[in-house]
Amino acid sequence: MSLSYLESLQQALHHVMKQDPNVIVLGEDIIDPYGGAFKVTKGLSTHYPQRVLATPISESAIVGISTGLAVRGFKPVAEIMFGDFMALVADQLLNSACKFALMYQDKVSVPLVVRTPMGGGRGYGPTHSQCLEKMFLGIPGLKVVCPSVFHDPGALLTHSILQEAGPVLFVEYKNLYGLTLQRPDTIRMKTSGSGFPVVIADNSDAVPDIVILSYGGLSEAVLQVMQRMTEEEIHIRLILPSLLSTTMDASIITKYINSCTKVLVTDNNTPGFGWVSETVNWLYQHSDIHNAKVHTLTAQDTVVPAAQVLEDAVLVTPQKLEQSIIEIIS
Amino acid sequence: MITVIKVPFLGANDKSARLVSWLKEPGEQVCAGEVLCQLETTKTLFDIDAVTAGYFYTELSNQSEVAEQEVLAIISDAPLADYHNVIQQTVKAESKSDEAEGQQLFTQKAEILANRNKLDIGALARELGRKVQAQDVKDYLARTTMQPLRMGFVQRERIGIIGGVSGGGALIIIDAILRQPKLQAVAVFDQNPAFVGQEILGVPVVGSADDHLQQYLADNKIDKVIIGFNRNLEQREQTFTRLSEQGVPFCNIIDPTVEIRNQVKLGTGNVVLSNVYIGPCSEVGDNNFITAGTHLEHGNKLGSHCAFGPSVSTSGNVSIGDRVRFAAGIVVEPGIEIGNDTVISSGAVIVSNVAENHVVKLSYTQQIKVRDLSNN
Repeated sequence: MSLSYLESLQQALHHVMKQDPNVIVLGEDIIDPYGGAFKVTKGLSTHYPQRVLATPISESAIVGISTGLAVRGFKPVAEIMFGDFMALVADQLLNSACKFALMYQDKVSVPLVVRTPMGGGRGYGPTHSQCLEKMFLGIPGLKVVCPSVFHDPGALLTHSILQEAGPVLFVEYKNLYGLTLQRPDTIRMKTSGSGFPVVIADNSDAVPDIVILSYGGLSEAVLQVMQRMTEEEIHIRLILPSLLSTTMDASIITKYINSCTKVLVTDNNTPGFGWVSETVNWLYQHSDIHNAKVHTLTAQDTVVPAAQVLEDAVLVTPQKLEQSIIEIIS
Repeated sequence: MITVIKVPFLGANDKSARLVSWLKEPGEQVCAGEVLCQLETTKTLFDIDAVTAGYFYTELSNQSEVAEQEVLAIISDAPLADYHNVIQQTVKAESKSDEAEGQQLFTQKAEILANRNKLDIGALARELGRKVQAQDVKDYLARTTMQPLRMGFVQRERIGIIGGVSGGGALIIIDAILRQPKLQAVAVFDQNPAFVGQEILGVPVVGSADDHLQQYLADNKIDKVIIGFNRNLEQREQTFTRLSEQGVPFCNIIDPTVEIRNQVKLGTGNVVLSNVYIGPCSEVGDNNFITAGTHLEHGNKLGSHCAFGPSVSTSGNVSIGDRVRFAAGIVVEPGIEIGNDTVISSGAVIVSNVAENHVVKLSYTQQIKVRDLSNN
């Protein structure tokens, strides 16, 4: 049986703690039996009681301590219970963790991973449903990583913890935790690049009617639409990077986008000034794409409500995606 | 009547729930509003009520995991002897009605294509009697909007030429074909291997007819054939007869400048080249090779397998047999009869009948000498 997104992350944490005694996990309510708000750290404290630290409710302190640990040779993995609390982490990350290696000419390294769940769709309301990763894009020295349901989230987390010398903000999407990572046979998938690969998924062997660029939590909705659209003879290619803080390699355009004149870039953030706008900019910087029309679809420019009907009205849903796709290719 | 109780919407966080326990036994009578069971999600407990009064039946046991919209139980207005069957049928009927909702007359791609082309896809679905695919729309559009002639989709008759490379027969036939949009010379079959791979006015020489002709016909690469050589008229006849017996279809190649007047009967396999005139009420057999500028006046009767050099002129009512060879520039008086297998040399004026198997030779001498320019 195939793993879920959550199980893949759980296993990765067990794996890295077993493999490297310098890995320390710290965060709020992560000790068993509770095992963390979303259970990603479940079972860890039972196996490694000395290296799993429950912290007070101070996100700034969690990342501050983690930065110190990282400077002194540990590999801390900090859990921030909700991505919305990243505002409290921003100073430690931006003004300390990301700067040290650059300020001290690489005489120190900060191999720190901050894990946090983002996104809405769960009825958690305006302060527990945001996608704040856009605030952390464009910070020198910080890698922002976000696995989709098409990625192997455990492998990305393992790579972030064991291979990356600098700080990584590892964004998990709440809506993906319960999903199995097994893809239906109708979806053909390849990856490009190692470490933090780009996934390219097609729902047909035919030339795509539309290329969709997205990442993270919205991959669930796109997957649903792709499956449904197979029967409707609408051929969709989905391109999902896992590293958001750097634009993709230009070869992705020449290999996978150039053949199509309809492109949709979408995420569940508020409109503008984020991954979507930067990706559109990247597309237009490559002259080859000029004959394609690039469309965008994002959440509404407002807070995420708690009631499901209102949440659906604000966020990108499979229905809205499908409607956009049909409008674009009609 | 059977009332179906399904797992309701469980909230944003859960798509399934644990059935904690039934509060009723299968077959028990229940009142409307009575609690039947409790479902537990990650956040809360739900009561499931009887929506109507009647006899309660279920096949799910306590602690089962149940999904949203799954059939939990049924309530019947009368006691059921075999409730297992009824529940199974209910589950089946529910899943069928879900499927029926999803049934479409056309795919969305087909709809998009139809809309782009202002095509009534509903009508197309009724016409086909099945779900319309994108390809159906494309086929329909191709069928209804195609105007083959305007697009140049014209079927040309494809011609194979047998022999005649060295003597130039193939060349003058291809030259005549190239002036006619309805014909297309495809290949020349010649037994001389030295010519294979060459092209005559763009038409490839492909090897002997014995080796290749049947394959070209079988592959549907040519429609009709014509014989290009005319030196050996016996061989021309034998080739024509043998291939005709094999069912190989022959055609006439007639240059567009040819004048064929009223009531002319023309066989097949004939080559009739530039500016030939065939007068009214003449008959021409099969497999003749009539080159440029030949005039056959009214009422002529020409047999088969004959060859004419350029500019042969016959008067009215001349009869010519089979396998007769005319050289160039010959005049034939009216009413003359020329027998089979005769040969007439260039420049002859035929004033009397020629019996079969005869040769007409002229007895004049041609003097060629250097011009004397000394006396102007």
